Amino acid sequence: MDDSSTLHVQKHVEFIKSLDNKKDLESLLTEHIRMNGAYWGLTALDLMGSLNDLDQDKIISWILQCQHDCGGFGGNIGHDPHILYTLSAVQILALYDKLAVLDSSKIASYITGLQQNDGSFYGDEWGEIDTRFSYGAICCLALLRRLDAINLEKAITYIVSCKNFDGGFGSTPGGESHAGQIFCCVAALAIAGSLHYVDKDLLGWWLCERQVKSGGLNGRPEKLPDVCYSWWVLSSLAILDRVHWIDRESLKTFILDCQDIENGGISDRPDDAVDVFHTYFGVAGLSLLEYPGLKHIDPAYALPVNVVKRVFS
Amino acid sequence: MHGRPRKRGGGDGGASEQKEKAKIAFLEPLQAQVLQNHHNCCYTKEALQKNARLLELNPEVNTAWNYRKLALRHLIASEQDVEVHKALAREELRVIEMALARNYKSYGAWHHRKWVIGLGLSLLENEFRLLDKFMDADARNFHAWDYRRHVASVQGAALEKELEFTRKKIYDNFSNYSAWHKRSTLLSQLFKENGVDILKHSTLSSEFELVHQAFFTEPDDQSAWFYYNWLLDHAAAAPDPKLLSTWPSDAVLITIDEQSEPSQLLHFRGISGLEETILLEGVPIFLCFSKPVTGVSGLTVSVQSVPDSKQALHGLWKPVANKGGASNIWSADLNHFTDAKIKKRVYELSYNVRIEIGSTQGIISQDGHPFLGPVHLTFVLRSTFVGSYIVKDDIHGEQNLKIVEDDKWEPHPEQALAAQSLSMLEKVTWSEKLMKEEIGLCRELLELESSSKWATLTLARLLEVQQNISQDKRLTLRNNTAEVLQLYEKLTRIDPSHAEYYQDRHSLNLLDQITSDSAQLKERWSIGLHGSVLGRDIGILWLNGLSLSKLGYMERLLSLQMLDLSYNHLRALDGLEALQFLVHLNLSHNLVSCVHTLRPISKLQRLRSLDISHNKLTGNSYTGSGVSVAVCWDLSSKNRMATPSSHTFEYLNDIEDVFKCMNLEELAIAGNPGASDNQFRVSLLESLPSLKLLDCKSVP
Repeated sequence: MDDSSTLHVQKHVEFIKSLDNKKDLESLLTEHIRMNGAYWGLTALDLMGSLNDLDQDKIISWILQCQHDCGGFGGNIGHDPHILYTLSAVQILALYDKLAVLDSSKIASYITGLQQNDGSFYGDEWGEIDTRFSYGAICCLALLRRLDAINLEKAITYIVSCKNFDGGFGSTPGGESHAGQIFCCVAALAIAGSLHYVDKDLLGWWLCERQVKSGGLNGRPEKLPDVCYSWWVLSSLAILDRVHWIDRESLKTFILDCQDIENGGISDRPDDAVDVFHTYFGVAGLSLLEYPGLKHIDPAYALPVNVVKRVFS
Repeated sequence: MHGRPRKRGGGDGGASEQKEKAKIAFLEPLQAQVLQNHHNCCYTKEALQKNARLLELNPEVNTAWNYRKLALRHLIASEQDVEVHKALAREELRVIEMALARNYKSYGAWHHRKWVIGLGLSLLENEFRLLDKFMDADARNFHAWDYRRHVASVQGAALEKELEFTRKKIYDNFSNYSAWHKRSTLLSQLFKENGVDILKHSTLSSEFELVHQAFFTEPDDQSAWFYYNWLLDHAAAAPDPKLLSTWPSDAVLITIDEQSEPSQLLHFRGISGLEETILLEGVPIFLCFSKPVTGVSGLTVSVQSVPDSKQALHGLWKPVANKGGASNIWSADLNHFTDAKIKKRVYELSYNVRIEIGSTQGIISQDGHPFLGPVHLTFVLRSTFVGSYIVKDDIHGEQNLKIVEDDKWEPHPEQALAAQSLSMLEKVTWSEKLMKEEIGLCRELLELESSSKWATLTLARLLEVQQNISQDKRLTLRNNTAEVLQLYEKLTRIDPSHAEYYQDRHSLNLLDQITSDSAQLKERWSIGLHGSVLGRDIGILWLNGLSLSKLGYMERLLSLQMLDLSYNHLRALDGLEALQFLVHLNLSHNLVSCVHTLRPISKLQRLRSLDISHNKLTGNSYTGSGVSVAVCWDLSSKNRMATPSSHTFEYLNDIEDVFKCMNLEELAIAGNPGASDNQFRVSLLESLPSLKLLDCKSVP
C-alpha cells in the first residue's frame, strides 16, 4: 500500500515501538519530557489496539523511578517533578489498569500544595502559573478520585477568569486564546461539571474557523494548520457537541496526508518530519472522527473510553 | 517537531549522519553532567557555564532552569554586595536571551526571566526593548505578549500606553490577532474602571473606525472580523441578565376549576375547543432569564396576592436546570388558598397576584452582572366551581387544578418587561443609529466583494442585532428576517465546510421569526386533533419539517403542552427544558444520536408521551458525531455540601441518568439503531417504571 487514503496502522505501531530504544539526537533532546512521550506513544498504541506490544513491567518500573518523595513525577529519571509529568504518569498507569500501585494521597497532596489562593496552579515549586496546570491538576485528581483534595470552586473560577472576547481561553487572565489552552480549560471545566461557563456558540464558531482550506486545523487565526490541532480543536468541539461545524472528511484527509507511509509516524504537516507527539494527536483526532478500527477516545481525559469507564466503574 | 522537512530513505552514513553523531557525543555527557551538578548542589562557575551551554542548545530542559534558580539563590545568599547580585542577574538575563535565540517559544526560558526580574535587580525598561525585538521578529509570539503584560503590570504601565502600543501593532499589520485580542482586554478593563456610557460611546465609535479600515483593507482576514463581532455585542446589548418571559405572563386571567378530579392521566385524542387547559398540581410561576442567574429567592422576588395577605408562595424558588447553582429558569409554587373558601361554598373568587422581580438586589448572572430590576407583573387568578357543587375531600393531599388561560399566544412585549431608564433609552437610540451605519458599510463592502464570506456573515449578524435592539421589534423583524435567512443560505453555498454552522444560525432565525409572530404561531397551531385533558382540548404546535438543526426561543412558548418537531435535523435539544408544561413531544425523524442529548427533556416533569423514533440513537454514547464527556462532577449536588467526604464518581450511565427522573407513559424508539439492541431496551424499561406503551405495544 503506498497511498495515503488509509491509516497505516501497522507502520505507526512499529514507529512508536521503535522509539523505545532509540538513541538518536531527537530522543536525546526530548529526554527530559520522556514521560509525556511515553503517554503519547502508549495512548496511540492503545487506540490502535497494540498497547501490549511493549513491556508493561519495564515501563511501570521506570515510571515509579521518576516519582519524587514529594509525590510528583519528573519527566525522566533524575529530572525535577512537575504537574505535567505527574499527569502523564497517572494517565499511563490508568492505561495499564495499574493505578493501584500509586499512593494517591501522596500525589493528591503534591497537587494540592501547588494550588494558589486565586485557584490557579503552579506547575512546580518555581511558581509558573498556567491553565495547562489547572487541567493537569483536575484531570489527574479526577483519575485518582481525589478531586476533593483541592478547592475545585476556586480552580473553576480561575479558569473562567482566563476567558476571552472570542469565547476562548488563555494561559493566564488576559492571555490570548489558543486551541491548546482552550482544550485544557474546556476539558477541565467538563470534568468539573462546569461547562455552563463556556459560551458554546461563540467558542464553537471560533474553533470551527480554525479549519483552513487544506482541511487541516490551526491553533489561532491566520496561522498554519498542524496535525496537533486535530486533537486540541476537535476534542474541544467534541466536548461542546459541535464537531459537525467543521468538514470532517477534509480533516481526515489532511491527517492521513501527514503520514509517513514508508517509515510510519505522523507529522505536523504533509512531508514534514514525524514524531510521537504528532503521531498521537493524528491518531487521537482520527479516533474522534470515528475512523474505523480505532478505539474511541474520551475528549476530556484524553484516554481511550474503555480506560475511563474502567477507572470510574 | 514543527516545520522540519521529512528525510527520505534510510540513513546514508553521509555527512549529516556524522554531524548528528558528533552532536550526540557532545550533548549526552553534557546533559548527564548538568543533572549530576544539580543533584550534588554544585554551583561553581564551571558548573553554571556547563548548564548555560546546555540551555543554549536545548532551552526546553526544565530541570536545568530549576538548577539555575537554586544556584542564583545560593550565590546571592553567600554574597553581600548588591553590585555582585546585579551582575549575577545580568548574567541570567544573558543566558535567557541566548536560549530564546534558539527557541523563542521556550516556556522554561520565559518563566525564568519572570523569576529573575521578580528579584528586582534589573531595569524593567530593558525588558520593553527586548520585547520590541521579539515582537519585530514575530508579532504573534504569545509568550512575548504574555511577558509584556507581566512587565507592564509590574511597572504599573498606564492602560492608554498599552492601548497605543496595540494600535501601532494593528496598523503594522491588520492580521495581528494577538494585538486585537490585547485591545479587547484593555478596553474591557477601561470600561470596568470608568463605567461611563458616554465614554463608552465615543471610545466604541473610534474602535469601529479602526476595524473598518482593517476589513476594507483585508476583507478575507479573520482577525478584525472577530474583533468587530465582539464590538457589536458590546455596543448592542448591556451584559446584564434580562427577564425574557414569565408564566403566568403579565395581565392575564387564569381560571382555576376547583372541581376537577385528581388524575395523573392525560389523553391525546379529543374534540375541538378554543380554551387551553393544563392539568397541574398547584399554580406554578416560571421566570425565564436571558442567561443563568443565581439569587432568585423570597428576598429578591416579592409575590403578593390580594386580597389574601397570607404567605403567597408555597416553598422556595427552585432552579429548573441547575448549572452550578445558577439557572435560566426559576420556578416556585403559589400557595394554595382555596380550602377555607371551598368550605364556605363561595363559588367564584378572584385574586390579584403581583410579582416584583428584583425588588431587592441579589439576582446576579453567572458572569457577575446584576439583574437591573425591578420588573412587575400582575395576573388574576379566578377560582370557580362549575358543574357539581359537591366538593370532594382530597384524600391523597393532592390538589389538581385546571387552569384556563386566555389568549396565550400574544408574545410578551419585551419593552414592558425591561426597565426603561432614560439612559437605557439613550443607549438604545445610539445603538440603533450605529447599527444602521454599520449595516450600510457592510452593504458597501459586499458591493465590492459580493462573495466575501466574512462580510456576508457580519451583515447577517448586524441585521440580527438590529432586530434585537429595535424599539419597534416586530416591524424590524419582518423586514430583516427574510434577508438574514437568505444570507445564511448564501453562506452555506459559498463556505460549505461550515455549512452546518450556518444551518444552525438559519434555524435560530427561523424560530425567532415564528415564535414572535402570533399570526404564524396560529397557523402552526391546531387544537382538538391530538389531545385533551379532562374533556378539554389541548392544542399542538407544529414545528415539523422546517429543516431545524438547532432550537431557540423556547422561552416564548412556556405554556406549550404538545409540540411536534418531527422531520427536522435536530442533533441537540438544548432549550426544551423551558417547556415545563409539555406532556407530549414528537421528535421523530431527527438526528439525535446520543442519549445524553436528551438531557434537557429529563427536566420536563409533566412529559408523558415522547416520540423519538427514527433518529440515530444507540445504546453507546460514543457513536454519532457528538462525543460525550465521561464523567461529570456535579458541583451543585447536595450530597457534596452535606458530606464532603462522600464524593462519588460514576461513569454516567446516560440512559438511566436521562430517563430515571421522567414519568413517561408512552415512548416510541423504533427506527433507531439502538431499538433492536436488547440491552438498550432493558435499561430503558428499568429506568422507566411508569411506561405503559413502548412503540405502541403494552409494556408487560
